[in-house]
Amino acid sequence: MIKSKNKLAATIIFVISIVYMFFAIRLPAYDLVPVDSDVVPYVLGVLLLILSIILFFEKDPKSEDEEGAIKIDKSALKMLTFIAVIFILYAILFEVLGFIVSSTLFIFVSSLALGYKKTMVNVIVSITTPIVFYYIFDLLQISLPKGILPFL
Amino acid sequence: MDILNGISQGLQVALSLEGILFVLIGVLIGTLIGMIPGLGPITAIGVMIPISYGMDIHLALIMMAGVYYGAVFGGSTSSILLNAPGIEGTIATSFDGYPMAQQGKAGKALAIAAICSFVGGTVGIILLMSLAPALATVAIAFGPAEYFALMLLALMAITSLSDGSMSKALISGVLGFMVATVGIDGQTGTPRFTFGNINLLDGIEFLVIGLGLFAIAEVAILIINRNNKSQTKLHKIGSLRLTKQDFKEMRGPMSRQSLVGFLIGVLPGAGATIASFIGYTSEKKLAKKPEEFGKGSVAGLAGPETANNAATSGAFVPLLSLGIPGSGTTAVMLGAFLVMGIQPGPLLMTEQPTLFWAIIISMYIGNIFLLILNLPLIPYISKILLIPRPMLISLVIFFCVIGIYTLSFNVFDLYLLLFFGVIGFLMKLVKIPPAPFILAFILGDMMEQSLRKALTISNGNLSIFVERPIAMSLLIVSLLSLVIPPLFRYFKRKNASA
Repeated sequence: MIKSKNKLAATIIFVISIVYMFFAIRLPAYDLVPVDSDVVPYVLGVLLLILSIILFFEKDPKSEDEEGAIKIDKSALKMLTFIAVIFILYAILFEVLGFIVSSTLFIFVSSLALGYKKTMVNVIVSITTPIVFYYIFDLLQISLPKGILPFL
Repeated sequence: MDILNGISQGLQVALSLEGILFVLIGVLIGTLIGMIPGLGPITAIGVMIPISYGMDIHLALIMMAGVYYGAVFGGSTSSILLNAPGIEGTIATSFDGYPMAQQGKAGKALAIAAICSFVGGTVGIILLMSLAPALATVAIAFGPAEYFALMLLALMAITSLSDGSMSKALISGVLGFMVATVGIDGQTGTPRFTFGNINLLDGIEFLVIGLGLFAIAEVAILIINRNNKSQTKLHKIGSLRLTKQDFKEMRGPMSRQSLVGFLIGVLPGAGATIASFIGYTSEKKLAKKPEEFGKGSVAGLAGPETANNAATSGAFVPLLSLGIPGSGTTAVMLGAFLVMGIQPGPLLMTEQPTLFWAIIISMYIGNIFLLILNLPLIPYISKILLIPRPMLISLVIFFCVIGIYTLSFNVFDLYLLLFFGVIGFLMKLVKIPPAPFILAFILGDMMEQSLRKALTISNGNLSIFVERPIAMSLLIVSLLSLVIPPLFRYFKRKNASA
């Protein structure tokens, strides 16, 4: 398992270097400059390719790896995906509903999903925090999206 | 004259009512964020950048200095109270700080940490004041070839000093450099790797990378471990008072480690983390009663705490005098300076001496306020550690979103934040260190431009790097820093098996 983790990472990095170089080749060329804009990307692509091969054949120090390894089970993965999804929703609605409404929804839903039990406290925190920050930034002359709230 | 002028102006701003208020805000927020396990100066600086926008530049600077020192101190606080280091640089603090807290002397440990941080930081700043100008005078003669070599050295140093596999650290650096190539090329105007997306034409904001790789990736870890009950027990703080005997025991480590820590901090790649470990082990070797180490020894706490703060100041030497950061944290600090319109480097001292000295004075003031304002408030600030994890996680994400959005006012950057958060999390899973990534990302553009400028000057001839003595020696040192550690490990293993 541990061994395959490094090899998997090496394979992914190998693919990244190939894709990166593929796009580097397609960069348009200029004649008048001694070093064109594709030179550095080539060098980087080749370096990453070599490094991914080295990583693939590298022996991993076992004792160290087992100790600090992060364990993810299915429920943790589910939770991470869920938070990522509501983060995306938050970003989509950020300018549509406005800063205060979208942030309130995000803080409330994500705290609830992560297992926060005191609903009343959650409601209060998720409503007041965005309002407070809205006005702090207003004071600093930075205006956050108003969105659907008409009275701001 | 310029120096005195700069110092007096820096003092004037810092000691105004507004100045004190913003230092206090900076120190408090820095401490709060630094306390949260996994979140450190990078996140704290990132979240505070938007707040500094409309501010007077001197005020913004002293606030940031407060944030920086506050975050480091916050890391020590959670090391002592929870045995959960807030940042890497304070891991060694927990060795003796946590046992002290278990014995009911958390207040004493915090006071020792604060005083040692202050001494380490202050000595560091004084050394910085003398070393940075000297280095800047040398660096004025640097051309693009020298700059390229210097930046390469910084990158090589951080990869060779990061623990674990060196190829992984190098991969991290190359990936960061690759991300830096996204956007319009500065010399030919060619859009690179933008995939036709107009949002990518200007490249990617450094804060997206910083908060994604460090804050969001760490949030993912917090989500996984959110039910871990062992980390929610907080020790009573108790009295902050120190005895004469304590001071006596602190004196030796403080005077030694502030020097050693500073020197380690100046070196590219080596930062607070390495300084604090060296501080701990060297004090243990020098101690009269080494068996007390790990059981709440005063010297065992004073050593690493002094060293990491001295290193924190030392890290500013290359940043201010050369404009080149040597660590992930100073890389983000450079980003913050650039947002404020300050370009650190050798010209900063000669062309804007008041600003240069104001930065240094503000660090000094930030350090003093940390001691006199922050320490008495610690019992209250540490209450943040009692915020239930689910709420804390939601709020950290919320703060990252504010930080990113107010930087660009572009929702696209929020998607990028999530993207780099996922990248950072995956890197954590396979143990690829994120620090070389952010350093390479911030240096990448400068490195590429100086490389190409150098080659343009020489008409495409690589010999420019060999003919210029400084450039060549810097390149040789970078090469050595890449080759020596593996060789060293190889011989060590050979000796062990023989």
